Amino acid sequence: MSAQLVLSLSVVLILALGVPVLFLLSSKLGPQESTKNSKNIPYESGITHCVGGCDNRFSVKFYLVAILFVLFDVEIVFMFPWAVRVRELGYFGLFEMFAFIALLVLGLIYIYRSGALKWQ
Amino acid sequence: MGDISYLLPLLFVGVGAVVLMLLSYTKSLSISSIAKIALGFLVLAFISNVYYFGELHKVYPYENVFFGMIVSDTYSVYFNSILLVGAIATILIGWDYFRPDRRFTGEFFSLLLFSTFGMMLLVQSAELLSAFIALEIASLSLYVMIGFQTDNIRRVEASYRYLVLGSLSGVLFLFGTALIYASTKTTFLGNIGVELLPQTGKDISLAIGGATLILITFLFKISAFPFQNWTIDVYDGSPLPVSAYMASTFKVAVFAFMLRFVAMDLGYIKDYWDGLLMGVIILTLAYGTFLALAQNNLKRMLASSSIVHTGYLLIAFVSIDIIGESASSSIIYYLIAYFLSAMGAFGLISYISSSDKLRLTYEDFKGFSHVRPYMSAMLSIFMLSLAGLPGTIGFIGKFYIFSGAIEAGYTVLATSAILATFISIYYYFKLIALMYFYPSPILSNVPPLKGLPPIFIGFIAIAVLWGGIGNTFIAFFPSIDFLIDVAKLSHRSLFLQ
Amino acid sequence: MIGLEHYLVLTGILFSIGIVGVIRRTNLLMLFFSTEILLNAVNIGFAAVSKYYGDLNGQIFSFFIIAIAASEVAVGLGLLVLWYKKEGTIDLTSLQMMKG
Repeated sequence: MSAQLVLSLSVVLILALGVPVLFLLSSKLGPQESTKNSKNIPYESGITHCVGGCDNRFSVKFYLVAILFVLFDVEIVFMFPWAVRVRELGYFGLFEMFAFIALLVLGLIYIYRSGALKWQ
Repeated sequence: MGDISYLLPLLFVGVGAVVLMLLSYTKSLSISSIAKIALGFLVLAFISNVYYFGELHKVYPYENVFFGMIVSDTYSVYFNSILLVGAIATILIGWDYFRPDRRFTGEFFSLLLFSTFGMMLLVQSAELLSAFIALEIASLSLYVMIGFQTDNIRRVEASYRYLVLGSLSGVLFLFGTALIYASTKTTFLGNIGVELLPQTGKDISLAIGGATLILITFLFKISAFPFQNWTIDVYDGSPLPVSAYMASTFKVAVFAFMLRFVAMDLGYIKDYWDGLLMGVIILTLAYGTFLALAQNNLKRMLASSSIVHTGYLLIAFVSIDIIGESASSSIIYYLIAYFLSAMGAFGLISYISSSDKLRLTYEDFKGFSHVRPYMSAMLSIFMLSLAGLPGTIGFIGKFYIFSGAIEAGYTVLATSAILATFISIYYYFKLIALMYFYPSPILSNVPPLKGLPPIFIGFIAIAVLWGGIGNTFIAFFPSIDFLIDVAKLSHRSLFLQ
Repeated sequence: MIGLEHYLVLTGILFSIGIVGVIRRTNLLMLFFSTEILLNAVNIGFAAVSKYYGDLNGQIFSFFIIAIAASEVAVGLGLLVLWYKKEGTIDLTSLQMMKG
């Protein structure tokens, strides 16, 4: 292993563990955080007046669908590498991918049965 | 039977989890029938696992499919048996607790099986990333299981706390893996150790950093000193059978993985940890004892005493490179001892709380023996075993650990552990004294014992006594010697080629 | 010329941002962003080291990490909705935890 790699990785370790400690110390020394600052409002970037009011309520259904979307859409990352090498991987890869998709479908069946997809 | 036979336990649990997931919205199935199905899958897995119990082997099943990321050896079979018994015990002791009016649904059992699957995979993984995935499967299911009981107001808090801290520690594990990968170009257990040998002349400081980050994750998951704060609140906020499950099985699985990792790869790095770990152990013992003394709720007391037991286990963990096989087998044996006693104690109070509506403070147990003599006798047995009194399995476990520590030269650790044991007698015996030496004020006409849990808890109590007395009375009966022998065999199987 | 060390320094910076976020933030949603940043920091590290060694395993690892991060967030968001329904806020101060 090259000395360069050692050096850069030590930097990583120091950064990852040292900086937070410094930050914590700074929070002890510096001004105390007030609870009413703009960091805790929904749009942190400084939008204080929303069109139509900020506290419109959304149905919890939207969140449910969003969470399900997050779960299922990420699985595509496993399909891309397979799709790139589909010929080299042959039937073994095909079988593995079908097994993977079958598991996802089982999850989908569960979600369907639990009624999370019904818009009522 | 080929490679499939080594994977059958995992397969049964995994398939069972998926099947239960699909069945959980079938209206015609009641909770208890779903619990029976879950039990069936777990028993099948246990039977297929016991087939290889105590047989010296090390196999990488389907190496062309899993590329050696999953291993099956005597060690993994041993721990899988503990985990499966833990899952079965959780269902049995919670038989009356999991009722529809507590909003327990079929998914709960699916999650239980998923987390058992994750833990078994963790025990069987021979590679750092698959270990991380297994750890996450186990933890993610646990996060949800903790928050399952809708009538507990503190459940979201408990679940959230465990989720945030758990994912933080998981990230530290990953970062450690990345550092080890960067300095050794491999993440396979066994290969890492070869790369770290001093003969290769490499600079291993980064691997030390990475391994230390993984150690931090490990310390967090077993709730050792600087990372113990979540324990009491999480145990308190979760349903009682889930606390029992977490206290006994999760700790076993994490210990099993770390023991494998350290024994196979980190022999050289462990020397750097000695001072650190000694400090951690002494503080864990001291702080856990302090917390346990301060509690007046039985559930919280058991949670804080589990921190003390973590300290005992870590003592054997430290002495592992000096006395090797016997330290490793004493850890394994103590894990079984703690597993049985904690499962029994948690299971018993979960049964009591579901049938007698107690709040589980010490006060509630005043004169308990006059109302429920059978239950309080068993609770006393579990307390004696947790305190480590002779005649129980806890005594033998502590004996092996302390004598191992003295043999390895860690007299300070052994002394502080013995001190902690003496103090622990106070808070365990307080309960026994309250149960036996006071008149019973509040409990008068309690319903008679019924159902599976009392019988099963009785079995655990017998096992605790049997493990302590051993084959002194019944010759030629398999006993602790057998368990210790298999534990030694499991340790040896780690180093098979 | 951007070499391995640049990526690793980026990893370190992102990791410290994430850790500071987990420790300092009181908004639960921000807390999840921070854990995501942590996971993605590790991802960059894995991908960079993998490229450096010419070993594909590291890049595959980051796929798995992405998937795990998604499932962790799904559980977290589910709890978040539960918490909001109960308390009407997603501020940690109402939870009185994490500091213990």
